[in-house]
Amino acid sequence: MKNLLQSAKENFDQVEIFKGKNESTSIQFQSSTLQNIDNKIQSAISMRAIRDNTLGFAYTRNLHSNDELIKNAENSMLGGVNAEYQFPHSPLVESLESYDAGIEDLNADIMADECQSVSDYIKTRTDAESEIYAGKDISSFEVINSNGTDLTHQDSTYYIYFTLVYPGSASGISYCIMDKTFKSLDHDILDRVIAKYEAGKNIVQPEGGEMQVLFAPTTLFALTWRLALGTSSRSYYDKITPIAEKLGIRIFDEKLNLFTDPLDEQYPGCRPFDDEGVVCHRHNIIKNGVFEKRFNDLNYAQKLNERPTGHGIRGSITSLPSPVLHSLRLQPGHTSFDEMVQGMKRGVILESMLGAHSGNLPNGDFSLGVSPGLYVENGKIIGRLKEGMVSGNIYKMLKKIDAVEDTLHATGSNWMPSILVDNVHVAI
Amino acid sequence: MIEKLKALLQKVDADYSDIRYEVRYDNALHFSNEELTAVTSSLTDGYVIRVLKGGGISAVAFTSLVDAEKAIKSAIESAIVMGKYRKKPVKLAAIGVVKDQFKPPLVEDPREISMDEKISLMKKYVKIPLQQEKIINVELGYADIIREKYFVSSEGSEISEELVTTVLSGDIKSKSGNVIQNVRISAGGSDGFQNIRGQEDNFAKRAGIAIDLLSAEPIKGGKYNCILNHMMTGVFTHEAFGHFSEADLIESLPAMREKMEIGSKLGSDLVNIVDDATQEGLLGFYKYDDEGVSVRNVQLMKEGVLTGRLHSRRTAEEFGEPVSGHNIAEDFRYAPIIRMGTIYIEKGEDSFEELLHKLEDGIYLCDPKGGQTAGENFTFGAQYGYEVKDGKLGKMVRDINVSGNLYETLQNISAIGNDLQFTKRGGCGKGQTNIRSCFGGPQIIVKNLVIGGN
Repeated sequence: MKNLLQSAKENFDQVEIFKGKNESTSIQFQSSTLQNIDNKIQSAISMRAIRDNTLGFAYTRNLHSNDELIKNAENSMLGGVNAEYQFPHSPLVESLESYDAGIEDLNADIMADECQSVSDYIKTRTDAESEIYAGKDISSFEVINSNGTDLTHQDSTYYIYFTLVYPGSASGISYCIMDKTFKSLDHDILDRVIAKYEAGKNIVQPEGGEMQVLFAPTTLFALTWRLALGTSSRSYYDKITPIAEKLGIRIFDEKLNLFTDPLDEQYPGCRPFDDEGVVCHRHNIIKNGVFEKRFNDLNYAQKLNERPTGHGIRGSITSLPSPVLHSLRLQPGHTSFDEMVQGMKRGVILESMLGAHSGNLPNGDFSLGVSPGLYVENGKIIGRLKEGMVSGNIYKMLKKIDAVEDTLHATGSNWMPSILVDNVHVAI
Repeated sequence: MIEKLKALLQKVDADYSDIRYEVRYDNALHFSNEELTAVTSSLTDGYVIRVLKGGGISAVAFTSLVDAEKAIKSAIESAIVMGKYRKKPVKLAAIGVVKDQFKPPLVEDPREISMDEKISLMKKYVKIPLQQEKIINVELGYADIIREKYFVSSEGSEISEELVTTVLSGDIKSKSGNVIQNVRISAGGSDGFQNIRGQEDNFAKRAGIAIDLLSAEPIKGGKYNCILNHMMTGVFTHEAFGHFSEADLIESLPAMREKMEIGSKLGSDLVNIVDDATQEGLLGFYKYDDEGVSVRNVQLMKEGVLTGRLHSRRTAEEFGEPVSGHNIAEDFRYAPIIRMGTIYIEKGEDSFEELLHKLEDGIYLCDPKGGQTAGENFTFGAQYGYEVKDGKLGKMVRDINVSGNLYETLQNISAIGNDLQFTKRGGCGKGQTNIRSCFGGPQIIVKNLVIGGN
């Protein structure tokens, strides 16, 4: 890395090298049978180089020669991509407890045994077909640049994700546990998921129309995706956000608090700096319903004369960093999930969804297929919808939120509670 | 390279093993409006080894030869663990040994087109929508991806195959007041750069649709009889039916497997579906899958009856059905999984005018906006549509998302158009992104589709 940086510095005004490394094992267990074990031992390296405000970019998996990577970055400059930003000078960053050495002892056999045990437990209590995924991941990345940044980060993740499938439907009730190392799945969690599955066993076909919808944590992704589009500096620069002029204004219910907190060490995936070496902080996007701050990467921070917020993330080694909401949280409220359900007169719990990408994203529109949707009447789940679609617009719908759950749940790298909203259109 | 891979396989003590090495060349650029925001030309490479031992099979993807021994050890250990947790040992369906080197025919090789020319062409395209006052943003990407694949198995197969894919992918946004609308644009294919040329009219037309959408009315949610245009038929066939034809998705779901028994009557008599990746010139074309099986045309449904399935060697053995050559990996970062090649409903007899006449009242749904399936339920969006009244096209409608049940929808297909069109750009994301995933079909009438509106 340092040799490469040294060689590249001779050719460019500024250079950044990003190196990522990853070792992972994933297991798929379906209906009491181990279906698949995949392993990965992979690494990659990419270079951004700037000369006369022009960007060069190249990447590779195997660094066969420094000169080849430098030459590829040089060649890409011929396109004339403008880059007026400076790579950061972030020499001192306090490391976080993001890595648990216990994960080194976790192997496929232990994870398969855990999956078998979860599968057996489910089998003794319900007729559901089960799908269980477990895995471990050890990742590290380094960012060094010609402005003095030299940072390394390592983290570990263990997860188990299971679904109780309604026979013949391939959709069901799911839950995910994530930690920094192996943690045996608590039977209380399994019992709660089984109870929910059992409550939704009957297929019901009520009248569609406007009703309450309880968005389960995994389905909040459909809403936060649109919120991210609306609040990103990139969307502001491209003039495609409908809330461009709403900074500092209350546009949502005051129960809505959306923020990123990569420094919170209790969660796997915490990180002290982003993929550009910009130091991360807690960053409020929506506070008490007020659109408080946009988020950016180095490129859009420079274009808009903003301070970099530490949200420059690479989708993969093949892509340049762009503004991404990572380590996203919706602040929990004061109502338990059971209390939320008990408070519903008539509505649907959107347990899982199809088509998060459907609808006019920049406008904030969504149309989500229920997969499944549990139907609630007078505070009680009475069955599940065979089919249906929940649709609306986040900028209208989130003006009034009935309740926010008091607990955060793992949904990939983001942790979310359930939220309850009224007057949402459900086509059945 | 083949000799190097054979030497690596000799270190594996297993019932069966194979190794795939790939070099991938990416040339890509991106415009955000008239600003060029990214240009890259890069080479990446890596290996995937698969081992069958002790009743289990496992794969390890690794980047560097330095990690080869660690990868082999890990693959063997994982295969043995898998065998320990299975009641029935994994077996692979028998296939013949293949020794072949295959390069696809290209009309215009993208490697012979300079980056300058590619940039100029995209810049020209971007300017077309931006001439319109209400067009506020155009995002446009171009990429050519060349994969050189080398495959060796312990059974003696030695195959190299090249896949050349060109992709143009864009999004055009319009705005009026607080309303923002968008439409997508795509082009590309498997046989060269010529697929990227000549898109001027396409850009002008798509910009016009984006502008028209600003004054279109949001559709009211409810049940409608619909005509699906070619691409909507394609996304339905791919999302709702096609994924269930992938044996790995149903093999461990007993109820679903029972529903998808070969011989089951699932669709109306009009419905014939094939997956045919052997058609040169279409995006989905390839010769061998990533376990060395020659791909074949599979008749999946005939007159509404399920007649075939897409398989890997493992699932073909498990189901007792013939191999099909559909075990495909995104690239060297992944072990192969079962993927569709070119899936479509075969054409019928009705012209578009006849379809409109048969529909009488309903909605004409145009051009998909993504899709997803979970079991028998599916959902996909339409970029725009038109009301149909008394067999005539009426006003444009927007914000259309369709949700439905596979079995009911297959039964509700009541008419099939007489021409076929196919996608030019892939992108199916079943854990991995398949940029060669191709679908299409004729225009069809489907009765009683649930549409979620505002």
